[in-house]
Amino acid sequence: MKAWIPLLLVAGIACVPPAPRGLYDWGGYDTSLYALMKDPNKQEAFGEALRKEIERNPDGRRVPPGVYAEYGYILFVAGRKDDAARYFALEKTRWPESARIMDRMLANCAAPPPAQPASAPAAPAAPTVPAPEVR
Amino acid sequence: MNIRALLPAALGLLLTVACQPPKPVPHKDYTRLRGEDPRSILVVPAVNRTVDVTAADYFLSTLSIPVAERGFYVYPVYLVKRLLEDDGLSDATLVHQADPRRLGAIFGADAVLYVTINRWDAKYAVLATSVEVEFEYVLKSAKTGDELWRNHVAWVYVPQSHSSGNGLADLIAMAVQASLTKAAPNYMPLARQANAAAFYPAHRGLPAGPHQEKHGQDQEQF
Repeated sequence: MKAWIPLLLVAGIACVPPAPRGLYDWGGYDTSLYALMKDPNKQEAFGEALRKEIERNPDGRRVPPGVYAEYGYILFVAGRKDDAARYFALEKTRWPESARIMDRMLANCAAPPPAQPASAPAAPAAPTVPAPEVR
Repeated sequence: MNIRALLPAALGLLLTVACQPPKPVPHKDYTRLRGEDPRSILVVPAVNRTVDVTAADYFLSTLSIPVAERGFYVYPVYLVKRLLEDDGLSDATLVHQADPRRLGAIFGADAVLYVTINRWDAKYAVLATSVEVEFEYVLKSAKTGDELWRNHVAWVYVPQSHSSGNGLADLIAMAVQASLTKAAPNYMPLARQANAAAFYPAHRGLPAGPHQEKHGQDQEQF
């Protein structure tokens, strides 16, 4: 009877959808983003998970698409514009597909911060990206 | 008769029975997707048609990995979500109604992936928690606005007290049950399973993208 136990295991494994060869080292990307979605104050922890992922892969080959950019954005929000620009540039170099939005983020890093009106804004400040028109 | 002589046949039978899909699903038409051969996919926030107000945000965190591992460039979902919010598009329904060509033009994306959560119900009971999920995945061209691919995943998980005879089903049921304690439900395992069922299976999922070595060589599967 014991012979059936490994057979069941084999059957189970054979039916798992063909998991793709792991192209990238995701580290804690999804779990830390999930935590951030649950609690908007977890931005720092998300940034930390991204930083570790990047440091673990110094040659960048297994850094997933979007990770340099997400880390750059966390730095950008924290006001570290120069550091942010470095990671936006890295994303653009590693993934040419990101060039258009990374160019905009780089321009945002170079621009002086928009003047914040003290009271409720009568006219909205310049958006970071042009507002898409909703049909 | 020696039991060992029966093993290969038994294994074959077991594989056939265990791998039987619940019902035959027609193959998808990949002509348009192959024709455009997108490199990059913009994953926008999911539309939520369920009563669970947080489901969509949670779900968004699980989408990058399967799509990127299929070989596509995936735009950073958190950055994308925040930029859309800055532009007054914090409502995912508005994002889904926007012209995919405009969204694509902002980010430089070839295609836009829209996910709708139609059902995400956990029914808590003393002995077992059952979960019903239903997701719709639609990929649209950012060049023409046309639909390139679509998939639909609908499942009911009813963890059972005894084995169903299908080892994998039991394992999934146990994992889901373990993750769905009422106090702090963790939807990640369920969402990951749904995404795997949407993106990976042959004839229904996404063909390999340009960063996968099988790119352009998997016509038999897709």
